[in-house]
Amino acid sequence: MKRNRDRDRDRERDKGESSSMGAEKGKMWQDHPDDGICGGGGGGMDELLEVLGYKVKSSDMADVAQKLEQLEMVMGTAPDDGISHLLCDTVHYNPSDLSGWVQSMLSELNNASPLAAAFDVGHNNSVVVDDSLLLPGDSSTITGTGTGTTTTTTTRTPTTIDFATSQLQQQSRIYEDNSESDDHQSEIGAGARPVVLVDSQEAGVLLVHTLMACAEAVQQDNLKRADALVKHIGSLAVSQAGAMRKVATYFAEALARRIYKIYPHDSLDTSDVLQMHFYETCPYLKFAHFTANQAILEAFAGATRVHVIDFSLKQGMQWPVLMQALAVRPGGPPAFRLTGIGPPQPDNTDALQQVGWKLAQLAETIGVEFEFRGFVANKQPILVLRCLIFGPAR
Amino acid sequence: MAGSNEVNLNESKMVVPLNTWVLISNFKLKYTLLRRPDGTFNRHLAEYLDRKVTANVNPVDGVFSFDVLIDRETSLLIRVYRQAETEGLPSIVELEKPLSSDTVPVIIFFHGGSFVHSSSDSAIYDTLCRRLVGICKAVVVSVNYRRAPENRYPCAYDDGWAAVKWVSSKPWLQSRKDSKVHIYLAGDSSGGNIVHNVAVRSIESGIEVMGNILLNPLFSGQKRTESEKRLDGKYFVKIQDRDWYWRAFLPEGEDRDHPACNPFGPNGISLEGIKFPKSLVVVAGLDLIQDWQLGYAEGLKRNGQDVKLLYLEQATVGFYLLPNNEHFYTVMDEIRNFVNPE
Repeated sequence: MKRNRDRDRDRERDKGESSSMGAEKGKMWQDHPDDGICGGGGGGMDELLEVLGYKVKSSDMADVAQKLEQLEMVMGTAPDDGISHLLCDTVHYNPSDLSGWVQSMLSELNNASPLAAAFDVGHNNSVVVDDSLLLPGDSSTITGTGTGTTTTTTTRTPTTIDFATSQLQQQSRIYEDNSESDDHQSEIGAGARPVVLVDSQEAGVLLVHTLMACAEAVQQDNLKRADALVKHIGSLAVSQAGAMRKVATYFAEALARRIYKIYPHDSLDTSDVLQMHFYETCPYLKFAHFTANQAILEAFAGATRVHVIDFSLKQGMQWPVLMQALAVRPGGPPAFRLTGIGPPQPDNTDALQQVGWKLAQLAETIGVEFEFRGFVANKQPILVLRCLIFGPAR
Repeated sequence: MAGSNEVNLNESKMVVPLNTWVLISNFKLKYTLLRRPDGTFNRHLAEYLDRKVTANVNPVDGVFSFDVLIDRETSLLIRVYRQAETEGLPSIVELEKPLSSDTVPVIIFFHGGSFVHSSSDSAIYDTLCRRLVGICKAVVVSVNYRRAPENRYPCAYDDGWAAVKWVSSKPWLQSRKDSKVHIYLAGDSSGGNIVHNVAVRSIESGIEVMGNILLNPLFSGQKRTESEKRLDGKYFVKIQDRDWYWRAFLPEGEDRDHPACNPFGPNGISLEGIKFPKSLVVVAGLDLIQDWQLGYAEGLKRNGQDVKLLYLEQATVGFYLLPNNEHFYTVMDEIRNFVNPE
């Protein structure tokens, strides 16, 4: 088994071979001035093989070649099935570490067969267990029990679109050079942004992701990118039908307003109406209120008087439903008192009283004893509490 | 027996650089482990051993790539490689941005592996495609076709044809000059065979293929040719291995005179008078199936088709995987001129 003393001789032979090939090379491929020179010197990895996913030190090349030859000879002398079967069932370590892989195959044969021992395969076991060179999503393990059963798990990752949420990094070519650790990344591995477009005919999926990307761009204040994307969204949106088209168009319009800073003038008036429409169309608030009301009903199961303080009355959308529930309570409704707190209105109207008045009308209709108090306050809950406690007596 | 093996190993070592020898021998050995005598294939181990890379929208050496699923039913993926035109990272808008030059060749690439091995994300083929983009100033679309023995003839051809249809339907792949997509088919080994068969399908389809590039294409026939006998086992390849792959790909019960395998054989169709793409056929002088490949080129000529044969006397299989030999550069130059006619 050749080791150090023969390595220098092999390196000379390598250089001889490669330089004769190199001299015939018509031209260099501009970006790789060092291509083809496999006597790369020192502990350096052979660059060409590295690009293809194999880590072999240039200085080890001849050694690896010899091991491959040995493996082939051993495999060639055995009956068809036997050796292959044995080698398939063995544990395969990092395939990128060619030297280690071949060595482990040879050792396996050495242990299994006296025939293999005749080829003096050596006992160097520098296998690396962890296949750190594959991207995380691509790792596989194969374990063999040697009894003919193999369990394998392989994941091939076509990956999903993640460019919208991934870190945007300026990545030029990464070349890890000759450190002894096996923490290398392949040239394209580190910081790769894999992208799979799921059926480009599905403009819908493309649309969703473009919307997300645009929104992110707006958030990052990258208006140039947002501008490019929002134009794209327009054409994508019209390729859709029905609900998706409407949603996308409105979304795009909203984004466009943000980007070009077109804000409508008098938005304050409509906020109440907007609130009511939102309450009606979107189920989330309603559901929250429903749950809260249930809790209140349970808490006041036997009570004859109920007093609720709403710190953020707004339109009082929560209370009609509660009052209805109280009205049909077995045993009759309790007296219901509501204290509503809200901010001062800019136009000096008493919004709180208006809400209170509407609720009172409802209460009369359904037969619930009702009382309303309004408090105008500027979001200072502690102060409000003090007013309530020390305020006007009932 | 051991003696003659030794001679063979030394012979192949004489004609290729050492790292090439290591690379191809490594494949040879691994593939031997994966093929089973009963015709089945150890796919799990194969996928584990194959060195793969993901697509990457970060430009590397000015080329970026992304995968597209073009057929849900067959999970057919293609990988598109483009030159990065703007500085910085392409956003989704730029992935399918229309080509900016007057004429840009779109090369639909079929990787090799004897219909059984490798995929579009194999490192060796991802690298080759990236090189083609830079050298030819082309867009390259690498097709991840279904492989044997799980998927026999004609799955690979169906997938190839699906890719051609997809490419030809994309407005953003059109050349400005004539608002048409300039489609070239290219492939090595089994990929070369797919090129021919997909081109046949394009006849009278309304989709024009402007040229075929076949690198060491896989063709065969029932009889044993002189080159097969002479070179059996000498330069990385044995006839019995070749036979195994044909048995895995062709419909069960069919022999190697099937027209997919032997297009100008007893069951072949005539291409005389047919509008067929011009062809560039590259044959390695140390490839044992060269007689079939030369026969293919001859067949095209006999049928009045435009074919250029590039015979590389001292080249072995896989010479185009590493840019460390003169054949690589010769072939790349030829391909560049082929897809960029003046």
